[in-house]
Amino acid sequence: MVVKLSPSPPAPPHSGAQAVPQGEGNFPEPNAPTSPLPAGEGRVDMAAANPTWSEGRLTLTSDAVWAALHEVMDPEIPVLSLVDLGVVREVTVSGDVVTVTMTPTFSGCPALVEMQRLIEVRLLALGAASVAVNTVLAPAWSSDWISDEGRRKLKAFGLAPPPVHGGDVQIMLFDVVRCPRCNSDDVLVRNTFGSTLCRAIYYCNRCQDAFEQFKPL
Amino acid sequence: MPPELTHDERLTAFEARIARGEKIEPGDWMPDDYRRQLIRMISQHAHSEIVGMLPEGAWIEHAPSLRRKLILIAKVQDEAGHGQYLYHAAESLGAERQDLIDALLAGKAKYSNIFNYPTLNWADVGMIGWLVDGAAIKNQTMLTGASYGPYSRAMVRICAEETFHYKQGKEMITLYAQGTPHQRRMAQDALDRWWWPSLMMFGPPDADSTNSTTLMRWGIKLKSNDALRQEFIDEIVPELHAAGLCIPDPDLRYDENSGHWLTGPIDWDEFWRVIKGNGPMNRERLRARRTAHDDGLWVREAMAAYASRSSVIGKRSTVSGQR
Amino acid sequence: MNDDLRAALAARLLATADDELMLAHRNAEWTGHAPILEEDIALANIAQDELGHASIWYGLVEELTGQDPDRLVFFRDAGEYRSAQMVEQPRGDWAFTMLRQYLFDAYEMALLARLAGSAYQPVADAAARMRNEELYHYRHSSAWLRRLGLGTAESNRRMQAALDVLWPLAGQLFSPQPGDALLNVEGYWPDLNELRQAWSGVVIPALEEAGLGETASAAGPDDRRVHSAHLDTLLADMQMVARADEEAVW
Ligand SMILES: [Fe+2]
Ligand SMILES: [Fe+2]
Ligand SMILES: [Zn+2]
Repeated sequence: MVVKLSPSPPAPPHSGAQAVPQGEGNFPEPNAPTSPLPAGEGRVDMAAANPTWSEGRLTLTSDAVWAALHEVMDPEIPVLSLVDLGVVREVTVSGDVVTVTMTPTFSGCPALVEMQRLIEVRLLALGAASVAVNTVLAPAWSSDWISDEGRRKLKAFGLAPPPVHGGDVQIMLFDVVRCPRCNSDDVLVRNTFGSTLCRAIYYCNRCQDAFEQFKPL
Repeated sequence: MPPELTHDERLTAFEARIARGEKIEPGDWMPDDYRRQLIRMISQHAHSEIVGMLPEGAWIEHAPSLRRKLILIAKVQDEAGHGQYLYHAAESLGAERQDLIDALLAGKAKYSNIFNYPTLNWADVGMIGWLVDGAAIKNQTMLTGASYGPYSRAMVRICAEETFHYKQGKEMITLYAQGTPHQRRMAQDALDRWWWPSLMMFGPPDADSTNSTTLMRWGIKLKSNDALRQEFIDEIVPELHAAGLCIPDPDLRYDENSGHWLTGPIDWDEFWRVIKGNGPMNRERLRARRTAHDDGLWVREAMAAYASRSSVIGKRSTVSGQR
Repeated sequence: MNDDLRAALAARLLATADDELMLAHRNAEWTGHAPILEEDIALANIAQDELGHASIWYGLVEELTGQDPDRLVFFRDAGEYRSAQMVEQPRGDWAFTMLRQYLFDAYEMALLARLAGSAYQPVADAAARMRNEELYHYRHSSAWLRRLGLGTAESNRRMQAALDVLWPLAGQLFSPQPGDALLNVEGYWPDLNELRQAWSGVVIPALEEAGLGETASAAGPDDRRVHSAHLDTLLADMQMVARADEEAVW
């Protein structure tokens, strides 16, 4: 007997029908960290996000802020930006005061405070006089919000991207998972709970190697 | 590879691949000794993650804020996840996880010495993140370049997580070092006890390190123990000083000529004593693992019984632990 | 919101948060000691989720009453806690832990499904956030219910023994507190009797399917102000470091 406890959760907004990127058989080598201890933060990359100067005063645009946030990486997945992860929901700029609204991936995400700090450091370096990072719970983050680019980067990092499920629990839990290296679907789940809240551990029969999946939520 | 090649020809081709920076994958030909050395290293690494759950895990129930409690559970979960992942990497070389675990429980397998020291105050948790994960990152970053594909790929993701642990530990201790007198004492006390063992984590001095030459030729090891240790010291000393902590080494000095921080002599007798099983916590760590294993016997039997029954019915189970 | 309603909602949220906190605390005790490595990971993961949920509920209490979540957790004595006795119990053996988890997950799934439609928007938002996470828990503990219930004679015996202890305690999850009627009228919180019916409708057939039988329907504790001695021990461990230095920021 199948126990039905609750109906499927409602589809999140923004859940566009993105296709999970299918690799073309190339196996990009993951980006190995170059320095063992983390490098200094708050580096200013003016080329990527150039605030404009008018009449000698710095004018922050929301585009510049988004571009800067595109450089703030997930504390545990250094190739994935918080924007590509889909946790940055809104940016408002008023003069040199910036307000960023974000939402946690999982309720118990241990990296939330660190993400807020990284955002603050980055935006202060961009020239903001003050930065407020608000956290909201609604609408609840969905793994569908990970961008196409984010999915490609996850895959290159060795994490199988989550299936796009549009809120359908059946797809969320039972969709085909593919090996991030060889794209084979000849895989076995080894643990629906991985090293972090957002991962599961699989095994690829073709590669004869384990891999991790970014879990659908 | 065509079968008519001799062992020496294969070995030459294998070493040429490594010299070109190619990764060796599970199905590829490899010398028996390469396989053996890798299984030894990867399983020791996996065991370290597993035993490493214990010293910090003991403090989860005492964590003094909701956030610290969450972070600590997450950290220990990371270590367990690394353990599982590394056992899989060892399995890709033909090892059986159960054999590896049996060796650990029988006291025949090594794991990192650092986990044979006790965690005596809450700040130890932060100090472990800062020093122990910091030292582990040094070693593991090197291993991202290791010649065996599954190991090197695992290291990339594991390193990213360890880096997060390191940052959290550093943040916590830096806060305590500037906190109340009680917190400052805790932080300093933790450093006093963890400083020397963390330097020993890189292994014995190069002169006493067996295995090293072959491991380096085969790209399993890319830097010497002493070189990694010095890199770590040069980075961590200014960080600890900046936090206002006092490093428990009266001989510690900066050498202008070489640009390195030079420490006083490391007590290698202590290192060998702990590695031979006589550290403060060796027996307790193994006892805890054996108890978990023995208490879990009936659970594993039930799992096996249920799995064999449901495979008859043809049910597909996706629940963790099903093999 | 008038004062009565505010107090009733805060009390209900506090009880919900306390339940999640205790369960998280007990589950985390398995970290490093589970029967298989996969479960060290799974239990730590579930504990983290429940602790995350507790933090969210305490946060909603704070919005209503101004009480700081960490003060609530680390500086209340047992008598001020509103957790159910079921989640205070020591972790016991793996059967006890997994059956408790199953009974609680089923309760939480049913509760969150209803709370997602709460007329109090912050509660609805929080519940929506937690539901998918809970689905992973429920799936996990349901599988263990079947595996242990139908595994071996010993695992079945241990599950039955766990059920005999847990069943009378589970009722406390649904026992009303003063002010609950008010919450129900406002559409802030579901009727606990109806919730209990829904929960029983799910768990009883599942327990039967897992080969677990009749259990004594002895009356368990009702009032959430009444605790077992286990809570004192748990709090002594949990609050030790925080209370050693009240001035400190941890
Ligand atoms: Fe680790
Ligand atoms: Fe929960
Ligand atoms: Zn593959």
